[in-house]
Amino acid sequence: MIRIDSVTKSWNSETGPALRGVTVDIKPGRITGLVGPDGAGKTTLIRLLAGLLEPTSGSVSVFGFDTVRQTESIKPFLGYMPQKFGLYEDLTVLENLELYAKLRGLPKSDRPARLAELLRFTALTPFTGRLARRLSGGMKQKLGLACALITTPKLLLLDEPGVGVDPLSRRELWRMVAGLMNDGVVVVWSTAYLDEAEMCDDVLLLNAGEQLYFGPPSGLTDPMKGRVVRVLGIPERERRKTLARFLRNEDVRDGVIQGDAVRLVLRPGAAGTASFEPYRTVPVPPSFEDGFIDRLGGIAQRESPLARDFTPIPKSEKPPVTADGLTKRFGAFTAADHVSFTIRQGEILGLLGPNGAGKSTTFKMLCGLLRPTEGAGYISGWNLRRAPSRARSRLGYMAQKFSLYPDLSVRQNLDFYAGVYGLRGRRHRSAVDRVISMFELGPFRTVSAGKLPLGFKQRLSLAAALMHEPDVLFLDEPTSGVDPLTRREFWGHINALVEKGVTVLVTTHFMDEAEYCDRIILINNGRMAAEGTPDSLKARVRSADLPEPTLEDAFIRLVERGRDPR
Amino acid sequence: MLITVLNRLRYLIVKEMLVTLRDPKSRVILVLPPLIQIILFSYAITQEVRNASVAVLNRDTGVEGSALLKSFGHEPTFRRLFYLKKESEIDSVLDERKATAVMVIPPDFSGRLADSTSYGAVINLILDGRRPNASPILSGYIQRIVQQSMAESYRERGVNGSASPGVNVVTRHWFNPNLIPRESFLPGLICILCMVVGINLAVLSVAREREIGTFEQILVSPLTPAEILFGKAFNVVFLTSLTAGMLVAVIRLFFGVTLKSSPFLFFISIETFLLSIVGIGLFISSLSTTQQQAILGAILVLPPAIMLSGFATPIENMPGWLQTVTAADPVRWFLVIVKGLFLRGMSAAAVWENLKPLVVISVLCLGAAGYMFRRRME
Amino acid sequence: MTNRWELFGALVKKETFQIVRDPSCILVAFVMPLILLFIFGFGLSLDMKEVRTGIVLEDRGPLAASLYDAFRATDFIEAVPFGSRRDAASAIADAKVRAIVVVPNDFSRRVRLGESADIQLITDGCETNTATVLEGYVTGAVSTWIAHQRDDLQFPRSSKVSVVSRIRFNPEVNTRNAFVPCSVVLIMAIVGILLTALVVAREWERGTMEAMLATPIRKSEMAFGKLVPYYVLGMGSMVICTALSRFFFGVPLRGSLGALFLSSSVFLAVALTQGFFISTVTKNQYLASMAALILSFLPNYFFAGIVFEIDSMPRAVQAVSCVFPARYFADCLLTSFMVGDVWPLFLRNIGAMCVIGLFFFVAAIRVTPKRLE
Repeated sequence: MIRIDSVTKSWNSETGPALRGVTVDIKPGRITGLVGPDGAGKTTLIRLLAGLLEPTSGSVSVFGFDTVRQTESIKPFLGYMPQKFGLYEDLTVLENLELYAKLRGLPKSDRPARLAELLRFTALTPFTGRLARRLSGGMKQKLGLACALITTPKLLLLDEPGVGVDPLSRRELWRMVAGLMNDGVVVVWSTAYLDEAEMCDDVLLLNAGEQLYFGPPSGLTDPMKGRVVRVLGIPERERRKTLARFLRNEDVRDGVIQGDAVRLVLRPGAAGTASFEPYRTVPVPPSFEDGFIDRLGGIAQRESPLARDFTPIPKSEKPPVTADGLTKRFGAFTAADHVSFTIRQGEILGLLGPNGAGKSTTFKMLCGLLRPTEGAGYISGWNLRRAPSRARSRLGYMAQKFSLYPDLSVRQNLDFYAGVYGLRGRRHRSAVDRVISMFELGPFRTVSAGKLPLGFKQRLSLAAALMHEPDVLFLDEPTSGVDPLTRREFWGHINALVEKGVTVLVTTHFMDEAEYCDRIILINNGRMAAEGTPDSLKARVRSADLPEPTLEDAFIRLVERGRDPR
Repeated sequence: MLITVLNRLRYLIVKEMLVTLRDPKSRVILVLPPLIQIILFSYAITQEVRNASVAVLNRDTGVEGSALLKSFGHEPTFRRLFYLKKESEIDSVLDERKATAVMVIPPDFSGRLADSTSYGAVINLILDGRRPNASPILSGYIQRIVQQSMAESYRERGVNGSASPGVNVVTRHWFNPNLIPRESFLPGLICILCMVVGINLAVLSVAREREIGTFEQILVSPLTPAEILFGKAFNVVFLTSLTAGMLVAVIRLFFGVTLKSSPFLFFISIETFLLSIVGIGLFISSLSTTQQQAILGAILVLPPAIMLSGFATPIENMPGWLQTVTAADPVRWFLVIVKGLFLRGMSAAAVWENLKPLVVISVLCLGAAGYMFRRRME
Repeated sequence: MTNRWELFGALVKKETFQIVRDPSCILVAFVMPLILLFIFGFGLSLDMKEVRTGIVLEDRGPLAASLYDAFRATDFIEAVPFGSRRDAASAIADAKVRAIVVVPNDFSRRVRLGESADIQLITDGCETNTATVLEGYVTGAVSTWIAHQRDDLQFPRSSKVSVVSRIRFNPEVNTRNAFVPCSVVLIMAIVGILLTALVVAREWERGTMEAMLATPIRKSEMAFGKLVPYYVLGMGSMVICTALSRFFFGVPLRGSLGALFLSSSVFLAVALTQGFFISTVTKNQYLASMAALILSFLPNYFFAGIVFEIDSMPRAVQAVSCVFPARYFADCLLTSFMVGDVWPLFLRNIGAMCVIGLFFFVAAIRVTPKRLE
């Protein structure tokens, strides 16, 4: 039905082709998942299917129409949802739908019924008059889908619809699309979330433009059977060190921290589990993510170079971070209400909470971006208000999105941040050289930071935050939208830093990131709603109907309890 | 302590320059539009009236009328002289802008000139009110040619006409003896083009960093808001000075307009002027959250600043209250200085008089921008 | 088959909603013209008054004093006495006065003897316009003074031919009547280009263009769908400008509203198309607004043919000026305000604007890509 025949797409000779020789036959009535690390060519392939790009060589045909020569014939039965959803922000929900209905030529008589159906289907009926700009990410995503579905397409293309959307909304979207399958629609779904890919009928795994696998997801998961184990009984403070030790083992291809346990993927034909003594291991069923990472060659960097080369921070009596009754009022609204806590040296503290609960307000007050109305924040004993420059010179900061200068080269970015943090002369040069070699940025020294592959951008951001050897590292959703391999590498670095005595404060929505924290503070309605280790939070919500709660479950229950004071 | 601050500033300034110069867009904006505009507009600055269309209705029955018109034929200004036959044609010729002026020689022209008892002959000149620049100039030209030609014809015929004693006004135009408008407008054009470049760079400098997220990144660094402001101001002033230098070189090479006073005075003045421009730009920038808002702010400020500067029409002609408003326009003050330095050889004391308001504007705007930065953190 | 009109209507409706909800559009279309016309209307003027003129009386006699009084009595000169030529010369260099009048020390003697006496006028050549006009004023003031002198001084009659000038359409010689419509031209050029310069670029940046390209609409439909609502908005600014000119600045409106409407419609359409073209080429709001600023204000100011004389420019520059529709619109607008309906002139200029508009429209459609490359 849809034939992609040895398609190659190159932009210019410099970067190499975005796709090379992809050949796939996509069958109707199935959801085909498009997966791969960042820069694999997923968006390029979707755009080729929509006729928005021309292949450099090879051909794409959709229901017998060539996407280059017969573009106009394809458009009428195409439903396309681009990455940014393609919504007009200044139009309301209903106006967006009506616009697309008319543009796609839906007959006037059918319109009211179809729109009502789509609104019901997406549960947007109560919000028809709301501007698209004011919708939450999940609602925007559903509206985008509804717009793409207006004329019941035969081919539905979804380009990473889940980016920046909470897990609940993602699940709803999946159910909606799965409901369409009875009509024989072809769905191509590009995604960065592997739990979504696992539910697809087929997956196409791309890596750097090359087709690594095409077939049902089980084809990737099944070979992993018997190769995944959980290592139990590791003391709380030893988890990071132990994981690092396991990852040095050639038999281990992947490993992550999960609460009090460590989950490992082993090499085929590994020599058994004796090397994980004295801890207990239990085999667990493999997930699609295991197959994905295995197919991509397993974890790339077994040991963070930081573990070797980063200078340990001397032990200090002063607590690295202290929040003392931090309060922020905006007019009558109290965004943060007497938040107080202390972080020990070498501890990872996670700040969690729903959007608008005061999590980022607290975070911003602690790194000096916002002045508290009451109370004070201290970094290594320096008051952020009285000695802001001193206090800030002791902290490293990594923002949610990549926020270094995209037009400056790697070296120029590092030179700048090192200089701004007060390094000069020989210390300046050696600090920059050291992070360049530690993070293997040497070959990219003169490349503009904006043109780096995503993984390297992440490394560069971290490098820039570390050159002045800060006592404290502030991370604001550091790995949102990042593929699993890059995320593993990043937390490898953080774990190594913490072992060297660096203190970390992280805010996040991502539960697998929260699992890495030693302690979590849950902020709700501007106040501290709960505090404890990940496992202790899970334990709090354990009940008869929820014997094995995940951190996500704990998060949801604890937030709900705060809402409903009983 | 001071060394630490200076070190931070050094890296900040290097960064600002690299950010501006590595972006091909800003590189182009710094050089190309000012260059094209100065050359194009220099040629467009022409207020003298050449190749003007003038219609003539000669109803004179004698010889004097046509003799007078012959002398118009020699003038390059009146290459497009054409004749009307009937009085009724005058309206349509003027209405449709086929002629800027219509000269009517009355039937008794020769007769009155011959008659020594008469009060004198009259030529009627009708000018197009839609051409506020061309009409008065054209009228002046025609007057002069008529007087010259009459004087000549008297002399030829030996009639005592012009050599009679009287009170004459002898005019000399200093600094620009032939009143070439290009010479007097060029220095002003430099200051306008520099302002466009400077204000664009300045309004975008903060707004862009906000959009790409680096602004927060530097706010959490030990840099203080004042230092950030200084770094940005320095960068824009420096780069725009380069543009200014380029423009000064261009007008010297292409049009031979050179500085008449000390380069040092010019340097000090242009830096102060640019600082005030940057102050305004950074203030707009501190108020806006997106690049689009910043650009709109710049667009709202630029045309009035140019119009109120005295570049287009003299400030003396404006109503009193508006003249007061122009005091807030840095271009107004700098325009006096550049013209003074390029054309008149202005004294240092007078330059300083006009620099003072610029210093005040710079201080006020930079202060306001700094205050806005701080407020954003509240 | 799809109903193309309905599809077009949907595009127009969408664009209209966006305009209504985007404060920056309202700012550009309504607030900006108000502010600019207010400033330009008062600021642009060649009506000179109170020009600071230094007077150096080297002759201390009563005749010179009466000449000085004559200067002081005029409206257009603000007489500033100076003790010596040198003081006055440095004042002119420092831009403190625009001209100097020197009455030499033998002035009274020569006049009494019936010899020819010279009064020197030194103007600041940097202000060419002021200098030219001032020359006429001073000569006139001196003639008036002569006419008022006692007969015993025996001034000879000046030339026998006098030229009597009349300024048609503006007999009271109020240059504001010409400059206000001229400002309207400039303002409409800025507003028109700016309004559309941002719209296509915004669609590229927000990713909606990508979704549009995947629907069955045609490029020309998309172009018209954008131009029509902004045309209506732009005509709104035109109404504001016209009303302000007529009722606030008191410029006469002698032509018919129909003709005014026609020429402004065509001009606005051209300006909007130019903005649309810029937007399509740049695909980026930052670049688009920058280009709009550079291409709208200054070129149209220089090439409107009001302050500067297009006929006297070099041919190459004249050719460039043809791309900017302001010069044609200026002709139409000034005629509509000051003269009346002169159809031959209107049609000539409207024709020229149509050619420019068509050129940019075709160019914009050409550069609109069918695909994302």
